[in-house]
Amino acid sequence: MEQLVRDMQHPNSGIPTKSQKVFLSFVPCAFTGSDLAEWIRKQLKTDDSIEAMHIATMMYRLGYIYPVDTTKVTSIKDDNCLYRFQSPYFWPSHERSHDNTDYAIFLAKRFMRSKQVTILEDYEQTAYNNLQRLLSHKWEFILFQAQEQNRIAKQRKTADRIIMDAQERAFWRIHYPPPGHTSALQSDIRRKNSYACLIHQNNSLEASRKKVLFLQRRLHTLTMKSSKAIESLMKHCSRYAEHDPMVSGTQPSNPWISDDTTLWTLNTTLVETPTERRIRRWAISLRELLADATGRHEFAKFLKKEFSEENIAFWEECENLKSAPQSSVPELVHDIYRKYLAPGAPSQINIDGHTTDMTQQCLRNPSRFAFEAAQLQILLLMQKDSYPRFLRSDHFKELLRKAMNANPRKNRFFTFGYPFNRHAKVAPDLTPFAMRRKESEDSQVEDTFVITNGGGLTHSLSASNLKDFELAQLYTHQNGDSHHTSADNNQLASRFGTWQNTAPLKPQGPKIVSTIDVPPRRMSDSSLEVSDIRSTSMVMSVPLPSIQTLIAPWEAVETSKPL
Amino acid sequence: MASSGKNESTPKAKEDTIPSLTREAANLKEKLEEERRILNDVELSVVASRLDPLPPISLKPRRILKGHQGKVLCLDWARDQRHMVTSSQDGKVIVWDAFTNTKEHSITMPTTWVMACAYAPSGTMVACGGLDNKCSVYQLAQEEDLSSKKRAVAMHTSYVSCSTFLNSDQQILTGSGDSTCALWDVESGQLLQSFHGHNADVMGIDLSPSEACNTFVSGGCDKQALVWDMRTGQCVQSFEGHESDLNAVRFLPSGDAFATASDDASCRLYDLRADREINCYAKESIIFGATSLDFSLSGRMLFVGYNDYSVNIWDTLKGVRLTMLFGHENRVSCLRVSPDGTALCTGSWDYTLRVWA
Repeated sequence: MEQLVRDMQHPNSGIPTKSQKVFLSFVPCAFTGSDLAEWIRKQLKTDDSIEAMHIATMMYRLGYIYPVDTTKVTSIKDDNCLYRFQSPYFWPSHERSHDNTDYAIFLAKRFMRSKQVTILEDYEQTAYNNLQRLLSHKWEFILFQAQEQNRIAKQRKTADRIIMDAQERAFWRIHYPPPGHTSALQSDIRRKNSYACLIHQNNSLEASRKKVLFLQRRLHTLTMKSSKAIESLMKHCSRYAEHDPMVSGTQPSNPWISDDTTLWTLNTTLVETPTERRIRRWAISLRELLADATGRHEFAKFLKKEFSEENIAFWEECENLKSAPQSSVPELVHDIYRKYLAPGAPSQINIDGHTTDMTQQCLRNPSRFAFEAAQLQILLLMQKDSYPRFLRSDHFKELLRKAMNANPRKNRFFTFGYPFNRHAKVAPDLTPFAMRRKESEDSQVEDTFVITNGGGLTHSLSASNLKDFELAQLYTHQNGDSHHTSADNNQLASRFGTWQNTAPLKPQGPKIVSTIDVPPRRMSDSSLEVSDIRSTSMVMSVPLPSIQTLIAPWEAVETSKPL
Repeated sequence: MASSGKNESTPKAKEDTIPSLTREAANLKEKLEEERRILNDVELSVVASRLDPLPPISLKPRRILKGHQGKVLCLDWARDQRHMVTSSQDGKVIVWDAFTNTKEHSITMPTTWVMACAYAPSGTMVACGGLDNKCSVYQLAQEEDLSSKKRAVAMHTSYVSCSTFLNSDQQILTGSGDSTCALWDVESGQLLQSFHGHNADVMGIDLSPSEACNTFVSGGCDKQALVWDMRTGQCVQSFEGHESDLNAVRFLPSGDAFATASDDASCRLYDLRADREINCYAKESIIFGATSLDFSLSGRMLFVGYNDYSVNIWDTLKGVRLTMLFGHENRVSCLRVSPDGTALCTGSWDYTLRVWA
């Protein structure tokens, strides 16, 4: 800031100043508001004149410049009013100590002269009277000082005197603002306390050792390439753009603008028919689904049909445990153990031996994180298995249909666009779209080309293609194990028997086509009810230079998990 | 993902001296930097240039909440999207129904400069603290005298600068001028975990929104932001780059990155996975420190409050400023987007709060 003001005062590159005639006397080195604005715009490379004016006003508020002919200015305008620079002596950064005594002297000085020219303003008059009472013990000293300073001032040249006087007045106006104005110079109390209690940890041996350890750990952790991190950030933003009221507006209306709280009533925590947008959000990721009470509820209903509701129940209880008061933690830990993990528990969950051992160790010293490992495993299990099936289930489609019926207006949402989801518009039917999205969601980074090469994304599913695929579905018992990386997947496999995986479609045309696999499904499921819509969404042929770039979604989940 | 190189220098357990350790730390730091350089293959602004620009923003002040007699220092939204708790320099804590612009509760704290306040997830409690070095919770009830329901939960050796509830009413995380953060059990007031690592006052904290919610980030006057594991109390990542104190930190809603607001008039975006700064939001015409920031629901927009009384809105990805909001008559001290992203609330030293939508 100060640098900026100094630049401004630079004789060549600074603001053009010239003497101006005011009240029969010259005020040298003054400049106009428009010149100031012009200079700021040029110097700081901003096109916004409002911003330039704002900066100028801030300079005035902080007392770097002051208006020449009047003191009653609240903001600086882009006009021909005159301003001058405050002398550096009065700059706030000098932190010239000023107290009531100084102010009293200043007022007294003005008061003495006021018989001839100026009259104190109302608030100054009150302040003067107050100070007189407050500082009565040294009032004589103050008067003497004021007289003395006035005498010295009289010996100066008239022009100098007026400038001095104006500068002083501007200074006090900033520091003792008239009522109703707040001073810009108030400082943050935190700053004052800051550094007072600075602990010199840096020098202790223990701290250095800790720092080295920390750095070593850091070196050993995996770091992602910026490009990948950035891609995933961008994907996140565009994926959620439609859910962001600031970006794409709200349906039916923003309560703050329309005073209509329908939006909030529609989106209360537990509702019978959630809105379509809300349901689509569940399709983004399992995390979104579980974060929403209604979503969790629907998911639990679905799992109940599949006889695996103990997973979600266990997950919920673990969440409850983490947010429980400390006093009830041991009790809760044992409750959960008895219910889900102990041998022969009423609703035992399926986790591998290693995790069970780890959990049992944690039990000896029950903490709120005792089931962390088990919970993560269950979460991954749901993510790989139940969640994709939930999104494909009739239950989910039914919900979506109901939501669309309830709010028919929203069906058209995709057709009037916000700029992000260009590719969404291509999908005529919402269901395959949701599916496709879900697939791309799970693989966080690897699938970016699907989005970016959106133009090239073709649903090259001709009728024959589709038929082939159905056959493949029915007759191939592809072993999906090759896609699984972690041990728990094998264990998963053993639970469900043979995996039935989608057979990679061989290209029909000259192009190389690879397939995006959807998470494996149970044999019985797929062979019984393969509908058209489903199979279209199952395999998408994407023209690609090479096949190997594609990674199955569940692998991606593992590799792209942050640290 | 690229894996980091094997680190050969094993710590010598016996002859640890401060100089040797400092040397080793510097060594390791260099290696880390080197690695970051290798992995930094592309700039965010370059990649983001292919994105479509955001539609024009027309945020207008929809509510102006007047009632504080001092500078507003902190605000927090309730999960019901319309209630809000705010605290001010004169020791008042006010619970508002911002939607109808009414004050529902007013609490007088026994201290001035109430710098932290937080709304409990259940909506039945608020927590606040300040120069009294404590963080107290108040049950919100219909009766007039709320101070009878006050309970001190957290105790620091210096002022409490920020506080937030975890996902439940039962735990509070606080940051303090004594350079530590701490996790407290609300019911018993027990210290569950303390976090040592900053060299100066902690000014801002934010919880990770990712599912496990086991990490949080803190920023302080030592110009660095630290990421912590809540279970172990260990600092897992540190980020530097600012030239002055950090005033606020906020996670991107994805949980993979966070942004910091600093007195050096810039904001920076750090990515946890890439372990580095990936964007800096600064402009020559912005010469005042940034005090507070928040993201829109998708993370695409970054709202920043500045000491020059204005709020700037940035495009997080492209790193360009979209627009400025004027209105406050003193510095903007706090800023929060409502939980469903429909509104933005700013609090200022001009004693008022504004809800923009």
